[in-house]
This record gives sequence, structure tokens and C-alpha cells, in this order.
Amino acid sequence: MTECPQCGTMNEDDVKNCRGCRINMYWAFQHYEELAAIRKANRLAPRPKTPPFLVETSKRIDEGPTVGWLRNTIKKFGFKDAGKKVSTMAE
Amino acid sequence: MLEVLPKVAKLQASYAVGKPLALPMNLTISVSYRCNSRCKTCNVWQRPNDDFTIEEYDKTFASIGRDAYWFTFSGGEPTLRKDLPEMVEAAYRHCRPGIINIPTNGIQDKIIPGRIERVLQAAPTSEVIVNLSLDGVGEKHDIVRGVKGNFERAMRTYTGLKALKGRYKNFTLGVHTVISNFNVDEFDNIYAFVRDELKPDSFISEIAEERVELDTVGMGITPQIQRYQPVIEHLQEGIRKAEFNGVSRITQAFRDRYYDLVKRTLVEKRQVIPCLAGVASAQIAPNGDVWTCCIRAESVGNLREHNYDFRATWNTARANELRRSIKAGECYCPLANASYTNMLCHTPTVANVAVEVVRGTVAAALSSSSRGKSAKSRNLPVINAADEACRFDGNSNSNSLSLRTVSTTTVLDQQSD
Repeated sequence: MTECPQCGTMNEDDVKNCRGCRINMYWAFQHYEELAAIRKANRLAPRPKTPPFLVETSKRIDEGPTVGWLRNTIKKFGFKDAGKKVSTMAE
Repeated sequence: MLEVLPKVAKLQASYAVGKPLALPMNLTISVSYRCNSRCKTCNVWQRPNDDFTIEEYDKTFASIGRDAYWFTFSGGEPTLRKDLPEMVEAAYRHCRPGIINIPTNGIQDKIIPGRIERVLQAAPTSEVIVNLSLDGVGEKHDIVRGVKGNFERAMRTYTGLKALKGRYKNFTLGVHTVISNFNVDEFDNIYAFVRDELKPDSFISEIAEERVELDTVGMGITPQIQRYQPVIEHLQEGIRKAEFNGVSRITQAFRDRYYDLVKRTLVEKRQVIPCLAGVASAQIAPNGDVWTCCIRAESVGNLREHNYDFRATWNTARANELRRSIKAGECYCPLANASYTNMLCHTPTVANVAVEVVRGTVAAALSSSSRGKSAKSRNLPVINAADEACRFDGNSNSNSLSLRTVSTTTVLDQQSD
């Protein structure tokens, strides 16, 4: 099980979006920390107030899948380390 | 541009009765989810690919005919598709759109200018607008877009595209910035760089949004109003001070109104003017799913299942249910593409823009004649004269400017987040 960096919900290891807050789990492991720091510096709640209609729509219609090569990379290296394998940034 | 006015009346009637009496005039065609950027504000590249072929687009565009005026070919990165010019050619042959809009990340600097040149040749009487994405200056751009060297490549692409301007009169080269929590503090620098160095035909900014299409729901990338308002008002000030002629004056007046709509939407969290997504605007996903908009990205049907007949796909019960939901205000957003169509279909907004354009034109003419003929070529900020006068005589809150009245204190006093 993998804990969502944003809301702490426990999710299946290869889940696309967090069951709790709907955040994209791959993105969350790459960028959430940075964004949380920005939000803290601006005295905002660490978690955004996403409009409920968006959360509901996303839950209803966006169950994936993720493109195959990324899903395999995440399975092999985990959410956090997968970022290094798929980055388009030159070493 | 005036040819859209009869369509607007039909679309307004469609909205009123809740059923389409005409096809949308604004179509976004997402040609692929493939993308060579890794932006911090987008996860669309994670979606699997099941892209339409050129034959499938040809059949679809044939079914749409001349109803659509404004086409956007988006993605993903649309220029990754080698057959983008053929797609545009098919759209032009069947639909003859007035405007074709293509965003690009500019990464493939050796390929994009040539591909766009073929697009320009494929649609000789359409206005082709290519918007280069710029989310920072120098390395900051690379960091937000997730690709080292992107800025340098984007600048080379820009130079290549600018070289086309002399040869193609139907070409508008623009720059597009997404303002997110990752770059809102940099926006003034971006704006200054674009204005002073790049000098494109147009500069547009869009606020980063949580969209189902981009899988950005729950990410909190949208800047709060307290940080967004000062930077966007700086841009609006620039628009009002600049001198525009003809159609550009109208475009800029709408753009100014759009930024006001964004601010109000952030604060009021509702549809500030009626949303005609699902009536006047629509999107086709790469696999042929038809959406009312990319914010909700809910399919009303798939073109493959309706023999590539857009009208049949657009007239499903599911489409009517989504239209009802949107009209009931069950969603809201500041999506630029839909907002511009909404403004065009909103009579008070059109009237306000018309008044402002006439005022600006008269003010410019008076100012120009008082300065003599030689002064006409000077680049002086005359468009704002009437506006300033209006503010001083206390009429700025009159009905004709009702959409402009986002009070700084009111907005700043509220928490958007």
C-alpha cells in the first residue's frame, strides 16, 4: 500500500489517483512537496479546496489507465523513483 | 468575423431551449495525448494513446461542415503528429474555419516551423494562430516545463516561426503563458520579456486549472486571487495603454474582459456569465470521444460509435443531460477557450466591448488629428484616454462597464483557497 503524500489516504501500489483527494499519485510523488512549501509560504492550507463537482466527476469517469510504459516504470521503481526514469530532463 | 453573428443567435436559442439548433462554432480537437513536455501543471502525457487517423478526421470534419468557425488543434503536443498539416487541410476543405489555433511547446525547433508552414499553406484563407508556450524566462521555463534546454529550443522555434510572417499574411504568432502557483511570482518578468524582447502579435495568459482532461484534479496548482490579481492587472493595464487598430482592438477588449471574468470566477466560485459549453463549444478527444468541455471531460458519445457523424454524437440524451447540468450552474471554471465563446454569446458583454471599441477608436482618431498627420505613426497609449476620463467622472461603475468592476479591496478581502 502507498500513502498519498497530500492527504495520507492508503492506496493500492499502482493506483493512478488517490482514492481520497484524487491527486495524480505519480505527480504527487514528484511535485507535491514543492507545491506544499509554496502554499505554506503563502499561508495557505496545505491541501487545496478543489470544487466538489471536479472531484466527483474525476471519481466517476477517470479511473485510468495510465500509459503502459509509465505503469511498468512505476511498478518497477515505485512512485518516487519512477520520476528519475521517465524524466525528459537531460542528466 | 461578422459571419458568426447569425450563428450566435442560433446558439443563444439552443441554450434557451436546452437542445442544439446548430452545431458549436468553437471546436477543440485534441489530436494526441502524446507530449514531450513534463509540465508541473499537466499530466495529460500519462494518458494512453488511441489517436484518430487522418481518415477518421476527414469523415468527422465532413459531418461538421461549415458550422464551426474557430478550430483549436491541441494535445498533448499537436506538432508531434506528422500529419497535422493534413488534418488542417481536411478541416479547411470541409469546414473552412475563420480561425485555426495551434498551441506548441516549441521543443522540436528543427521540425515545427516547417510543419506550421505546411499548415499555413493548407488553410490559406483561415487566420492561423500559433501560440508558443512560455511559462518562465530562461532556466525557470525549463523547470516548470520539466525539460532542460526547452527555453533555448522554444526561442529557436519562435525565430523560425517569425520568419514565416513575411510570407504568410494569414499567420498570427502569439505567446501563451499558464499562470500557476509555480510561476505566478515570475509573471511580471515573463510579461516584460515577451513585450520587450519577443514582441509577438498577441500575448495571452491562462490561469492553471484543475481539469479532468489533464488529470490535475486535487493538485492545488491554481494561484489564489491575492497573488493572481496584481499580476493580471499589470497585464490588463498594458492592454489598456497599448494602441491597437481594427480587429486587434476588438480582440484586446475581449481579452481584458476575460481577465476580469477569471478574477470574478476565482472569488465568486460560480458561472459569472452563462456557460455555453455543450452548445457553442465542444472538444473532441484523441480517441473520438466528444466532450462539452475539457474541464469535466465527460463524453457525450464516441464518434467511432456514431459512424463519425458529429451531429448524431452531439444529439445524444447524455449530451442533453450535460447541457442541463451546465446550465443549472453545477460547474464553473475560467477556461479561456469556452469563456471567449461565452462572451461572444453574452449580449451585455458584446455591447460593452462594442462601446469600448467605439470609444477607443474615437479617442484615437481625435488624439491623432490633434497631433497632426506625422504623429499617426507614433506608438502612443491613446486607447486608454476614454477609459481614464470615464473613471474620473465617476462613471466606471455604470452598467456599460459592469463586468469591469472587480473591486480590489473586495477581492483581496476574500480567501479564494
